[in-house]
Amino acid sequence: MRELMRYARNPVVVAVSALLLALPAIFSITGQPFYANMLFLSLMYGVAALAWNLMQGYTGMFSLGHAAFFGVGAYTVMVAMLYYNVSPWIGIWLAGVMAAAVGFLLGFPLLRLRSHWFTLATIAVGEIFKLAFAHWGYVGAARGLQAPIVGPSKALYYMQFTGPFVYVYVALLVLLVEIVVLYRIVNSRTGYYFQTIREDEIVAKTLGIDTFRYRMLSLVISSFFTGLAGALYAVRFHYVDPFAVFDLITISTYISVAGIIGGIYSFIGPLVGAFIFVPAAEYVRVKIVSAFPRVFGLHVVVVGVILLLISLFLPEGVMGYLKRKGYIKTG
Amino acid sequence: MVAAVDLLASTVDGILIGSIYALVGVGLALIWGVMEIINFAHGDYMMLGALTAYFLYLAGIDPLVGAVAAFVVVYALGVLTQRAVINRILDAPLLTQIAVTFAILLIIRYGVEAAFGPYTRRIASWYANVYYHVGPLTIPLPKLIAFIVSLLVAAGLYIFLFKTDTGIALRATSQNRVVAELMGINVKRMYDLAFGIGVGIAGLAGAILALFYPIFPEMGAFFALIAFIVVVLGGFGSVFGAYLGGILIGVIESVSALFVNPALKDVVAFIIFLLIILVKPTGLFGRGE
Amino acid sequence: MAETLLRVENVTKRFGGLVALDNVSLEVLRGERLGLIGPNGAGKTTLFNVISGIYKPEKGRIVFKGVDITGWPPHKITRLGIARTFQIVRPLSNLTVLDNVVVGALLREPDISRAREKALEVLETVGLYEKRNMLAKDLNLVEKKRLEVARALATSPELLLLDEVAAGLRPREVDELVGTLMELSRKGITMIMVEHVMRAVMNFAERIVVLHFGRKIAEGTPKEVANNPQVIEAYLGPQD
Ligand SMILES: Nc1ncnc2c1ncn2[C@@H]1O[C@H](COP(=O)(O)OP(=O)(O)O)[C@@H](O)[C@H]1O
Ligand SMILES: [Mg+2]
Repeated sequence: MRELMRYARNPVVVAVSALLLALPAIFSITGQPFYANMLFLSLMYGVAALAWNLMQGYTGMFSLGHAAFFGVGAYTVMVAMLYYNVSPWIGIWLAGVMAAAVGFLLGFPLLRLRSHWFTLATIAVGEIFKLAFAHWGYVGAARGLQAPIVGPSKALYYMQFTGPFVYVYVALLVLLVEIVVLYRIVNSRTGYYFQTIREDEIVAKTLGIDTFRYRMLSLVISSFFTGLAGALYAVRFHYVDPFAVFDLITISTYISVAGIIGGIYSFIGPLVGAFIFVPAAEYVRVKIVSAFPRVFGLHVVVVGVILLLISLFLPEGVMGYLKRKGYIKTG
Repeated sequence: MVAAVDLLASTVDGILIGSIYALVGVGLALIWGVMEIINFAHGDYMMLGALTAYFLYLAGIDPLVGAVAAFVVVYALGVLTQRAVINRILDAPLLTQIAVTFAILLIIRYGVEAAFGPYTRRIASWYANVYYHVGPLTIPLPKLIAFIVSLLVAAGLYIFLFKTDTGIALRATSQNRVVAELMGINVKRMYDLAFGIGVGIAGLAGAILALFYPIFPEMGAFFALIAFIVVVLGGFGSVFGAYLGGILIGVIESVSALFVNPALKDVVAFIIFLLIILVKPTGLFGRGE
Repeated sequence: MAETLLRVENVTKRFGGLVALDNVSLEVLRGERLGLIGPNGAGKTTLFNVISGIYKPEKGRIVFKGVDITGWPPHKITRLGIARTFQIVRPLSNLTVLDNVVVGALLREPDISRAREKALEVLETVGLYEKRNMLAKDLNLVEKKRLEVARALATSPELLLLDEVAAGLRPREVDELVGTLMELSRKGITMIMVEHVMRAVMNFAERIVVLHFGRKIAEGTPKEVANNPQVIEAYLGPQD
């Protein structure tokens, strides 16, 4: 409890939570579902990007396969609801557990790899999950799974609300839980050990750190929260299909681009990155692509250009830049 | 039971298609060997080569001539990429290197999709439907041509790397950049060459592949994966190891299609890829003091 | 008679055809200060890598505190009480000097704020206290060498392996460093010092072991070793 009070005094945490709590109210007043939806997506990707960065920024493992955890999380909610009649209120947390279990099992082969080999392998894993789910009858194969349409009496149980607003609050709840847990972890011995591994794995070992265990821990925690992000997707859209939730571009790449833009050496950076990048990508996708419906893939080109420019000219990300310039101290 | 004839036919087919994989892999290995950069966009340069040959074919130019043009065009694009972008990230952290070549992938792949649409295109050359019958085997002429071109390119690359001054300088650079610099080699020019030739060969491979394979913006994804497998298999940075690795993967893939549902072909490739990088110690953690 | 803390028994380590350690045996008593010398490429660093678990020897055993630790992973060896420095320094570049040392201290003191107190003490000992808030990558080489020592010390080792920590120091700095190490030795830490700087090793070590082409060619007090003809030959080439 005392520690919780300490987080409550952390300026980053206070500012961000205050802002986030205020925004949906503001938007619901202005009544623009487009922006509320953008906010939901930013939060959802923010949850995933913070989780991704526990591996990248803290532990030095570059994953381009987080869609595997995201997708497993999304499917878990649907399967629990459709086949076991479990409310998504519970399903969301099951999704995290399931994604963490998948992360744990994948850790045994994946953690033998380092640097770009690790990254390549994570891409392969994401793609294998996509293709496997697309052929797996139990989860509806390529068609995916659709939530049942229920009457108003059961809407709360099945988390079916009109418009995006309630989902924004659900996403905020998940994000808040994540921030508290992750902040606690990165400021503990475990966080120090993650960073030591990122800097130099051999040194980490000679300082008594069981590097396999801590890399595994980083992977499992990261996949847990990425699974929650996937669950948010399923809850919000009532529908999952393998090509959406396991996508290399719109899931794995978006998550890491958000992280890179915000700044991987900053705790809150990936969330900031999500709030910059997701609205930009959404704006391009919805406004430009619908204005030129025959110009396919243009929004992905925009993503590519943003990623290229940030990597070349602002590799420390927005938060890293602000810190270097002295505009902010912590975070 | 699989009949021996099918096995033989699959093996031959695997060698023919594998000769394309080999070329794509060779380009990737060359870039890695000289610059220590993993080019995530490699498959997309290949797609650009195929597209070049396609547009020239529309203009009435034979695809084989188009293949040469594809090399030249993609080579030029490669040098441009190297000078504008890759040059800046040679000493950057891994994250930046991967992010940048991945960004190039996104820009090329979806830039083509945005510019020309997500459609599948085909080249219908006059020899598209010519088959040779050798004993129990049926060999399509386009694949045979691809195989021969691949061998010629490999031979040409061998002569270039081992018999010309420039090629020897290129190999010296891949051995040790600092020493090469001391020997008076213009390392930046070597990087231009390595990246240009590396993606150029991929472009050429794309062009000859297009003799019998559909062209579409995302076609590079699968071939990039194959190229990564080939490079790991062939021993890292070894250009000719990659060539043999390519042939081998072609055969494995083609023969495994006899046993596994072809719809799962990509899954099989990804799983082979995972197994290879897990088993092969190169590229695994090798640092000590 | 003091107890034997570390026993290296007939250790052989090869790299391909090269025999980096050839049937090397040595013992270190608890509290002792052992010098390990030999020309470049003699196998000194390799011996440290074998003791600290980075390499596994092809043959032979390493026994520490009576426990056979041959083939143990490095982190377990560190937990049992062996710490090392790296000849080619390996700072945790993007962490502060203080945090570099805190990581070491966390091994025995999981509480961050107490680990920090301990780290500050260690930084004071090695003379890096003033630089504690700098990033480790911004230190100069001499300071990075000290950071290596500090980080290793923070793990509260019983045996400390020092790999050329005096390289590049001026004579006065060498004496300062030896003074610091002597103080640690008085506190009971056993040390093996690999060193080229004779001023350091001759003043520091009670006993010296000489390696040459992976073999132990001499052992004795600093004086004995300095007058050993085989050692002179190893360092200066044949003397006729
Ligand atoms: N990882 C390694 N791979 C191959 N050879 C090595 C490796 N480490 C050390 N060696 C070789 O082993 C020999 C001993 O090296 P080292 O222990 O570093 O010597 P020293 O520390 O006494 O100068 C040298 O010939 C060196 O080149
Ligand atoms: Mg040495």
